[in-house]
Amino acid sequence: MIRYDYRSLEPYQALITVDAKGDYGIYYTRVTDPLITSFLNLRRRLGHPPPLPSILKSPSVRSIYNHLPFAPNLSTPEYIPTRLLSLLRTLRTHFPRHRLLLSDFSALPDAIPGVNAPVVQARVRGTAVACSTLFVRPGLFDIFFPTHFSRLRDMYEHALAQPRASGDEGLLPVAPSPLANSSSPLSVGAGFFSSYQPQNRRTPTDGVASSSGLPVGERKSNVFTHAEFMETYADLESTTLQSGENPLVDYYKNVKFLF
Amino acid sequence: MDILDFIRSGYPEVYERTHYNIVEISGRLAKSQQELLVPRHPCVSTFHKSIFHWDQQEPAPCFFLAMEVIVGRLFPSRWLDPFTPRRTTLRMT
Repeated sequence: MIRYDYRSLEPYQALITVDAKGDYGIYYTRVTDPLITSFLNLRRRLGHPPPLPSILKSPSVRSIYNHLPFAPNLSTPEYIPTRLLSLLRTLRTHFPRHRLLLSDFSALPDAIPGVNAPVVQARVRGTAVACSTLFVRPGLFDIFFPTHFSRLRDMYEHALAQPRASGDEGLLPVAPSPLANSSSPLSVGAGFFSSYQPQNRRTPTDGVASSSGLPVGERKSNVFTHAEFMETYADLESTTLQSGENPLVDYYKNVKFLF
Repeated sequence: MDILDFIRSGYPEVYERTHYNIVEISGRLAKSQQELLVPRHPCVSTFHKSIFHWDQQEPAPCFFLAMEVIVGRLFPSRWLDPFTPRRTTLRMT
């Protein structure tokens, strides 16, 4: 979790402490965690703005604000998906020819305060009860985070587009499949006839045809709502109820797909 | 189970070259999935580990399925959260 200092607009990372009695505390330091740093750099590169009121971007307004009595000096807590970033990196390095089908919650009711904040809930006699704090005893509560899908998509496509880092050298190269119907070195002549690279395609890899079988880059992933995804891929006729309702389309309003 | 049943009945030639790998962080769930699936679909392998400790490279084309995986565990909250991420790769070679 991070918060921005309203004076300098610098991000601070939250550290959770547990004292001898088992009570939780929280304090803020400058960002030292490398994963948080790389998440923040990536977000800047992708043009994803931090959740700050736009009026505070002006230094003069900020100076007035900071002189107001009782005005908070740190922004609303923001929960950032750092482990999601490390999952995307694992996908890129360890599954170079995967296609991702990911489905999850884009929004959750009864979340604790904050940006991208989780819902913290316990099961009491079979019913989920949401609470208003993150400081609960480990193991007894479920903590669920919503996913910002369009940002996830940008992060994912960016991760896949990265050249392989030097640390990856021990890993195998991307192998052309013997079943592939194209093995021409695409990068060599790619720009010969045209420098046009379709926006919705990834840069092609040598010797690897896309799943369409054509020597073009793979289709970039898209975000679908649950209903859009089901309307595209599900058998709606045989899943419609007698009432005319289709749960695949009418329910799961807070679920999205990345595919 | 249903995915594999579907491929087997509708696309037997695809089923023949399908491997279905499940990465499951919970030992109990890994075991029950193994017992449930392997007798019916011998192409299933279960790996009892976290995807964050995954160290093998998969050079073949595959589908990576992640259903309600990132909702629970993808934040640095190991101390908070017993939720189990599940990850599946479906490989057709």
